[in-house]
Amino acid sequence: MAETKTPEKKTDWLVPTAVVLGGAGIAAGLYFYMKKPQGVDPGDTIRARFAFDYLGPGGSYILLVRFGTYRVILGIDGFDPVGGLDRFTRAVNLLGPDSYQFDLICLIPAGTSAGTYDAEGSILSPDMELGQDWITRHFTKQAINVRKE
Amino acid sequence: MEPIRVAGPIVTGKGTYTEITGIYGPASAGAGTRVDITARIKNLYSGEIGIMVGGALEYGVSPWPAINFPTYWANVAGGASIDFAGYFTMPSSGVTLHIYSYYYGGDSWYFDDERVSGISMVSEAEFGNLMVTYARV
Repeated sequence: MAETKTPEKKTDWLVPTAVVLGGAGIAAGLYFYMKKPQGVDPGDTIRARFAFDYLGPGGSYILLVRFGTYRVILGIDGFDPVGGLDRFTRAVNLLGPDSYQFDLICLIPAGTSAGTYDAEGSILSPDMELGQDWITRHFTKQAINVRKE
Repeated sequence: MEPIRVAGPIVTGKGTYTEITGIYGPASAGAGTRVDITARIKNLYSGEIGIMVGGALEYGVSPWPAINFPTYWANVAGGASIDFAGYFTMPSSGVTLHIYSYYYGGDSWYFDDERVSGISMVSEAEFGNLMVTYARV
């Protein structure tokens, strides 16, 4: 018996494709915006936010931020700080096991050369020598971009 | 640098010709970090003698790893003291430092004094998930 055939509904892919591509574009733009180093002028301040978990019994510690050049030689992390950008510190007291967050304000001094700087954020005990010792540390490539004065 | 705390008794009060009068360095260090120390040795003799330093780390491995002293001997005037700078890499546990002094007896070095000190471990394991982010204020 002959039947009538309902014509197949043709899917219009244009709108969903446009939505997906548009979303991907926004996501990519946001990613590259977030990846872009913070642009600062000499005299500006940068907030370094430390977030970490602590499992010890409590004690006093030093947070240290240095800006310079991060490098890896033979698989070993190294950091070459830049004078004037190598001693931003804050003393903190940890009461016991918990998640902690601290802000450390870094003043980019006048006269700092323009350029992109990596950053090293480290945690030390008070008797450790700044820049020589650390308990743990975190590197950020291209953390800030200092503009010309 | 601050004197590090003495973890154990002085093994010998003083030697015949030398006395280790101090060991200086950090009280604690993180695993894998370079630890710089200074050993101060006094010449107890009235005249100039050759003094040599040695050192080893005790933390459960055998043989005890040596402490590096780039300059490990010197001629020291009578009654004077000398500082020997040394260093080692902090293991993943606290360490006891054994510092030794020797005097030169004309044909060889003779052991004379020993002193021990400790450096406690600051554990990286106590800290986890460290993240540092940067933002212009």
